[in-house]
Amino acid sequence: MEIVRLGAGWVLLAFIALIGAELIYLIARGKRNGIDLSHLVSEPTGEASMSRFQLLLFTIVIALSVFYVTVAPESTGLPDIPSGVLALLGISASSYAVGKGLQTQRDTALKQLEKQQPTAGSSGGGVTPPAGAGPYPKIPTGSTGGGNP
Amino acid sequence: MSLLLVAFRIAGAILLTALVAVVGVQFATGHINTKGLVTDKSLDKPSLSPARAQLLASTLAIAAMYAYRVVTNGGSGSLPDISGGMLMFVGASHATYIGGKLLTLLSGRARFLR
Repeated sequence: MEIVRLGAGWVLLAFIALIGAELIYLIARGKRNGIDLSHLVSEPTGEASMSRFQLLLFTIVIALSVFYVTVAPESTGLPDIPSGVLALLGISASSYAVGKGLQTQRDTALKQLEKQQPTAGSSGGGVTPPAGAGPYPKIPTGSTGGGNP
Repeated sequence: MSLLLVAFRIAGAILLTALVAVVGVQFATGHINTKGLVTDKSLDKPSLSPARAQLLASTLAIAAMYAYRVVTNGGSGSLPDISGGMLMFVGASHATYIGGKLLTLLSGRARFLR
């Protein structure tokens, strides 16, 4: 029975090591037929997101901490995750979700405005906010470009 | 300690280190896009955003403090907890960031509809 247990352990280790090594190799290859992480902390618009960056950093720190504590000599197995750590991750994730909601609301409002105010002229520019209109960038609607200054 | 346990620990350490190293190198070399991380995109001319800068600073500070506590407390076999004061600090940072974003959104909409 001990041999079976040991064999299962080695198979499990080999499986995890192979999957992990393959993933790391693909991440390292990046855009060359690998896993492209170039938008790991950025939005579809191309701008980096502070919430995503924070969530990534906290996740890495806590994952490394769990591993460090687990392999400590006095460890008795997987440690319990304290409620404070869960709250920290919750705050970070909630902030990301709220930010995403605000952005979606903005995009929806822009689309509605675009429908209500079709562009004048033939250049196919799109909705143009007044100067200093804040987070209401021009939405390109036409295919011929043109646009607004 | 059995050989299998040692192998698990070594493999875990190598995989985690390699993953963090690969992601870190991609950050450092610019393969992971960080453009506009601390700039205010709502303005006509993007500039440094104080809310984003304070959130970045508080994030790095809290991550560093927690990692330090884990290393100094690691022998106990349990993860250190995060104090209520620190959680309030994180919450306040996020509230500032989200509040600023909301205000910008609302003021932009008001100007747009005017």
